Amino acid sequence: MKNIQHRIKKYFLNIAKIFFSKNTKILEKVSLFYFYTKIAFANFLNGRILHLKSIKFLGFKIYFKTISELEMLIEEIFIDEAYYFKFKKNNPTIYDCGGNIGVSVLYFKHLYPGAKIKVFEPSPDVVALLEKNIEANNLKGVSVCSTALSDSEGTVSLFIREGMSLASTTSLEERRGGTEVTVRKSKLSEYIDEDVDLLKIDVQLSEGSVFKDLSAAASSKNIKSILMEYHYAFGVEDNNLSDILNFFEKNSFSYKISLNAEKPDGFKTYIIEASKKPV
Amino acid sequence: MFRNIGNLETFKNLLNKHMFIKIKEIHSDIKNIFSKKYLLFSQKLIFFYSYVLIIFNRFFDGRFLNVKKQRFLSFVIEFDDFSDFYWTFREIFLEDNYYFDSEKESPCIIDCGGNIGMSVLYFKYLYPGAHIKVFEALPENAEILQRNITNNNLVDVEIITKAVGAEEGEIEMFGDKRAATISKGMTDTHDKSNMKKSIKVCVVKLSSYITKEVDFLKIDIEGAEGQVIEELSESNVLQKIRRITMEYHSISGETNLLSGIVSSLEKAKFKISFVSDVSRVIDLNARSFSHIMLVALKK
Repeated sequence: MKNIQHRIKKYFLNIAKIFFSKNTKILEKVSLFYFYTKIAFANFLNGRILHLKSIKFLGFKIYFKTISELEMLIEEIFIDEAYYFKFKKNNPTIYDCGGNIGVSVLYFKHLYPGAKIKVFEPSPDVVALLEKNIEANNLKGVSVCSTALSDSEGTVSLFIREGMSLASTTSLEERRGGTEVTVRKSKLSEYIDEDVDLLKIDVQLSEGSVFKDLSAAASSKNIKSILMEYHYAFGVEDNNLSDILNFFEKNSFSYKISLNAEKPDGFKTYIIEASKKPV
Repeated sequence: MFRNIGNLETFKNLLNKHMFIKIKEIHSDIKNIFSKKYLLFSQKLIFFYSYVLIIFNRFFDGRFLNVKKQRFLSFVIEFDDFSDFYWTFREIFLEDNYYFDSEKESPCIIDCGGNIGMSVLYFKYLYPGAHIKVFEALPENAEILQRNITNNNLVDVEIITKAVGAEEGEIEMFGDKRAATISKGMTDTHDKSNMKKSIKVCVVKLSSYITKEVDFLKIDIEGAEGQVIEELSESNVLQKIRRITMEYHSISGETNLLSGIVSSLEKAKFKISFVSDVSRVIDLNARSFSHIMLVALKK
């Protein structure tokens, strides 16, 4: 009963967020309201009556593994607008690290249909869904790199939890009983071959190593803005905030940190937004 | 996830215009008091009673009363400005900004920037047996601090009327009893008229006061915190400290000393996080930002 109460509260809070958003027009709000309600309701019926594999959302068709994860993604990306960004051009270049099934890719395409996106995702099952979503929606200018990101090349163990693909991590300390899968790891800097208007990073505890790589590479000069999630986990040895802040310092980025960090499962996630200071 | 808080904030701001929101604030304060994990139920009742007295005084201060003294919990505290007391009470006692866990009955605590003693009272509230060293450089504040400690019969509290900084010596301190600092860079972020006043104070190195393990270090010195962390780092004393909660302030002209502080702390094997503040995004390069609270925990 408490669970239902909580879900109803969350639903209405999200509806309020949709209508109070500064970044959408009224038609879009109504549209979002309809589609979000559809997903929330489908999630509620999930397993009892429905067994969905795909759903229509705004102008898109989204293939997913579990609808509860989809609802979380829609909430984070379309309702909380975690990755909202105002570009000065119509066809920005976006690097999406930790793309999962592609909800953020769809979001960027929704905001900027002409955007050129490079999306990175290590988990093989998830990459399959990601590619399906790109194909099903006829998205142009989107390329997929199936790799984990780190400060060196080779292979690494990825720990995947059932029903929580969002939380797949290479971190040993935080694997929380996930199944181990060996995936490729590469350096993000090797993929940067152009100006990057926005670098989005959500790599579940690998942020520190990604920034170690960027700090040492010349190609990181091409990055204009960064939107990232920094995950604080006490037991984890290596994910140092200073690696990230030092990168910002050395490259004249100004940054903002969100303090609203506590998550229900005890994790702390800080969203950091950084952009190159105008010369 | 909550980056675009403009969303939720606009929504809350709309509500805030109404009087009933004060009731909602009080309601959430009460929920806060009764969910404090470190208090027994009877203690929560006592806390709640104190809270009621304080809210009462808050309403009447400036209207019929001129409140200079407040009884709360088992303490009685004197101060010059009720409003300052109220906001400090909120930060320290209600929001537990300086809370820390300890299995010891007498943890060793160092309090830099003790002001009139609210944090000292808080530490004694948490751990009556605590050994506290408190630094307060401004003589006006140190006087009130001393009275508050004596009036509450607190033992094991050492007051050092000196400022903490990078080098020993004498230096000018700017500002007033609300926000005084030895950091010259602070002049831009505070009311300029206040910052013109200055007084000479003695500065000491914090490391010279740390001989054994420190369970908790609190730093709130309006801009000089970078110097103190550097000094502790260079003298290899950081490893003796188990936990630090500090306020980082912006210093005009110097963008982001924060990365330097975070670096020094992480090198000494601390894990860094921030004191959560719902719906707050800190722009560390904006000249108008006030402070961010950092927590460093030894792994």
